[in-house]
Amino acid sequence: MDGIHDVGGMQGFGPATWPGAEDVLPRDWDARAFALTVASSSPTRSTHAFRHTIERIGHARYLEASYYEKWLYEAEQALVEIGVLTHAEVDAWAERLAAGEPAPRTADPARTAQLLDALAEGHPMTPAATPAFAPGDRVRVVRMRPAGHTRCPRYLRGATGMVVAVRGDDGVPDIDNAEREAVYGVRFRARDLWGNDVGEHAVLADLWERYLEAA
Amino acid sequence: MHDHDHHHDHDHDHDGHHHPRPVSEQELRTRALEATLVEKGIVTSDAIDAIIDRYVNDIGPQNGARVVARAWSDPAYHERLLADGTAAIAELGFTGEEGHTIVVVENTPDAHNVIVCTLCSCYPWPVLGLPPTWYKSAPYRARVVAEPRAVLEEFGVELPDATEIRVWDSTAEVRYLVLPMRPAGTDTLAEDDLAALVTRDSMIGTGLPLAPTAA
Repeated sequence: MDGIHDVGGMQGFGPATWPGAEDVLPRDWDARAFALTVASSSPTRSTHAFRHTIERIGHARYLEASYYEKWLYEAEQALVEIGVLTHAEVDAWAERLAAGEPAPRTADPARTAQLLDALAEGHPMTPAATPAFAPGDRVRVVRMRPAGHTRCPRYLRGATGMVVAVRGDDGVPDIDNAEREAVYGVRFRARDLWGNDVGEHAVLADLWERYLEAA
Repeated sequence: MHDHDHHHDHDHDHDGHHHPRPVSEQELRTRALEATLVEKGIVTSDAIDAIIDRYVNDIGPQNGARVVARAWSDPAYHERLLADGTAAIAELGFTGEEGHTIVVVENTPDAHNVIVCTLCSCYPWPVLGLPPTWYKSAPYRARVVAEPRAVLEEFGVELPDATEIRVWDSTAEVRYLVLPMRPAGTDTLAEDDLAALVTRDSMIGTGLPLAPTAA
């Protein structure tokens, strides 16, 4: 989906940093929204589904909402979609809390320890089984306009670059991990992306095999 | 985290009278979602607290600084880190979410590396913690791929014209860590003292390590 989230190369956003932009978790509720999203994420819901929900939040809201406001939206939306709660139930709690009712508090140390252990587990990518390309190969990024999620950014499409690494096999985002295939590190000359309006730096991106063709 | 709310301005009026702090819509929604999930047993309150504690206190750029300082001090580790970042970083105990596969890119007099995620906010959590606001906001994400020198200047970094800038767009599940150049005048420093010179931004590429203070 060629949405507002795909900002690489866009102009007109203003300074890259500003006073206050150093904050990681600016307010208490940012931290709780972050942790709540992590703790409630379903093992059956992929990172791709998470990102795609945020991508569909609406263009104006995407730019205006704070970062963890988008996570909060995603977490609630995901839980509604998998059927574990309804928006009406959250509305009801919002009213009760606004009226001064205390929030419930629970603890389950064994389960929490298990959750923390799972968050710390590393699952590195597996080596690519049958990569079509090798370091040094020239490749072109295919042109596309997919209706759903993709991790092939607009600014690279149609450009030619060189494979610098075979990263490994990974689930394909565009089909929510239904298939796995090789992911490649590909190096592009900035001027092959934007012409002589930019400097002579290099841009590198990791791209799934189906985003690439031999050049 | 209970003491990081910077929005206390409304707690007291000019007469010093205490008024309840207005709760934003997002804060109320966060609390309502948490109450709903706690009531249903989908999450427990202690898990939310524990996740926040871990990402505020245990996981952050201090981890990445240890990796960098080790690489500066130990040539064999340096070699392992560049050959297989994930495994070398795991040797120091840093693994988990948003860092399952980590590639370390080394700065040299000829090449300076910068990391970004143009599509969302991918960032190597196990070594840098959660990203600052600017990293996950549209201006940095949009601009650094096309005009890295202008962006770096806004962060106070000016590089020689002959240094090639390499911008790594985290479009897949690989996460990047920049290995900055060891500052001059640090030959006699122990690993812990070296780690103190390694800033978060120097590991993103938007900064350089601190210079050693004259003894």
